[in-house]
Amino acid sequence: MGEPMIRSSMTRRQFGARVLRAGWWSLALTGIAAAWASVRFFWPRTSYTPPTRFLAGRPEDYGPGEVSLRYLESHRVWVVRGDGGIFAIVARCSHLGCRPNWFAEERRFKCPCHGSNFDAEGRVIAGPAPRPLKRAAVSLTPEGQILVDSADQAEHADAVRDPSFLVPLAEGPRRPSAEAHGRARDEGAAASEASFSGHRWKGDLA
Amino acid sequence: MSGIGERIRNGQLWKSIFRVGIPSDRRSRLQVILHNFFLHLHPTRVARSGLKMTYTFCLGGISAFLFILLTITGVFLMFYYVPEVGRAYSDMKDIGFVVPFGRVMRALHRWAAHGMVITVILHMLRVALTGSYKPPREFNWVIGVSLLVLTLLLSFTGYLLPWDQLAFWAITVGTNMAAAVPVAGHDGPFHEVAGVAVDNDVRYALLGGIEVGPNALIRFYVLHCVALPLIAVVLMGVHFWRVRKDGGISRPL
Ligand code: HEM
Ligand code: FES
Repeated sequence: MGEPMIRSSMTRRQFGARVLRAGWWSLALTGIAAAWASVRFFWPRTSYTPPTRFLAGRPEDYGPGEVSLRYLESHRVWVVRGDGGIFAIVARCSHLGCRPNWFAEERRFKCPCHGSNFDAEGRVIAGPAPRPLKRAAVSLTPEGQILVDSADQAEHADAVRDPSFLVPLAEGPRRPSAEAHGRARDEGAAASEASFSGHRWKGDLA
Repeated sequence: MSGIGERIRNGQLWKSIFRVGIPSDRRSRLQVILHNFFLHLHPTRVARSGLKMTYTFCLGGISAFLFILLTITGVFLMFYYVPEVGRAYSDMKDIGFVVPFGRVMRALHRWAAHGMVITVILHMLRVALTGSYKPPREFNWVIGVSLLVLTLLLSFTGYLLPWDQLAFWAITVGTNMAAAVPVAGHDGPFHEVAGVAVDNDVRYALLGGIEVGPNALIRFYVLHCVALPLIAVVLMGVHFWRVRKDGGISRPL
């Protein structure tokens, strides 16, 4: 007799549909989360490589014209003392990224992969390299140590104009006079070559 | 002697494995293909034109053969090779000098790998020249392109494993190319907009770090020995099945 009494505003069927929809949605969201997790998995939060900021001794540790290989294995940079001061060259060929070798006798970097040559400032002399070698930022700590930041890199052209890519040689008694500097440079070059004799390459002695 | 053969072929053991006897007519020949797991990927019938050597040059078949050879020789190599920076290179030397037939195994793996790259490319050329990519075979062309990419990736990942100078620098150069990809690579155009840097770009994921090192070696090893072959096997299954479903090998018009 008459209508059946409905206490809820929702039919059993509607309720079922809603539960089912919620089920599908949570399944889809789980799927998306799983996909995200499977991709994110491949980007670890830590890589066990030496820190990009490191101390590289004092300016006096470098002889005039020295291209130091001391931080090459550990941090992939050459610390160089040029005319204007100390700078750091990133040890990564501007062609396709191999690591060039420093040939002290010829004062050149030569890349083993496709033969690019660079001078001690990192400028291209020969080969397919399209640009000079990059530089890493250098600064002097209050204690007088050289701080290299190999994560802060710049193209050669920008770096030579930017003071944060050069540690000028210290003023005062440590700095040789202009002529003495010239002399020191020659001696220093000879000395730095001698210090590299251990790194000579067989093919290079001829 | 024929009596023994007869007895074996009529025995329960034989019959439990091979449901169809020696094929004698069209119908039983068809059944042999259909009832065999390995043969059933193949179409049950092939047009005479498709069997002609100079139509397919069996280039897809040679590619598949080389893949099987690579899988078998690769598993053998895995018994000695350990993807660890201090060991990898000397393990390769051991395989070459102290493991009986090790050098044969490695040479087979290496030559078959070079061969497969060549035959897959030639197979693609054949399919293009005979117009076999046309409907209904468009999708199989797409699967084929994926198989070509997989073949190249297998070569690339395998190249790092000897961990010698050639391997190291080749992978350095190769992964630097990934760094030059737009947006996703830290050396590529528009990388700034996505906040992509050395320590979060595609190259980082490929190497598991910012340079080629121990993480890169284990990643390439797993990709080379497990992930990529699995994907390739699945896609090859689909590829062959599609040849069957799309009406067998295409015919000259
Ligand atoms: C791992 C690599 C590959 C394997 C093992 C493989 C294997 C095969 C085999 C066994 C066949 C039967 C006919 C033949 O032997 O020529 C076939 C046909 C075919 N393949 Fe591939 N293939 C590979 C890569 C490719 C590539 C790179 C393409 C093109 C982008 C492609 C497109 C096709 C098409 C469209 C057919 C049907 C051809 C026809 O009906 O005439 N495959 N493949
Ligand atoms: S990577 Fe140095 S010359 Fe090509």
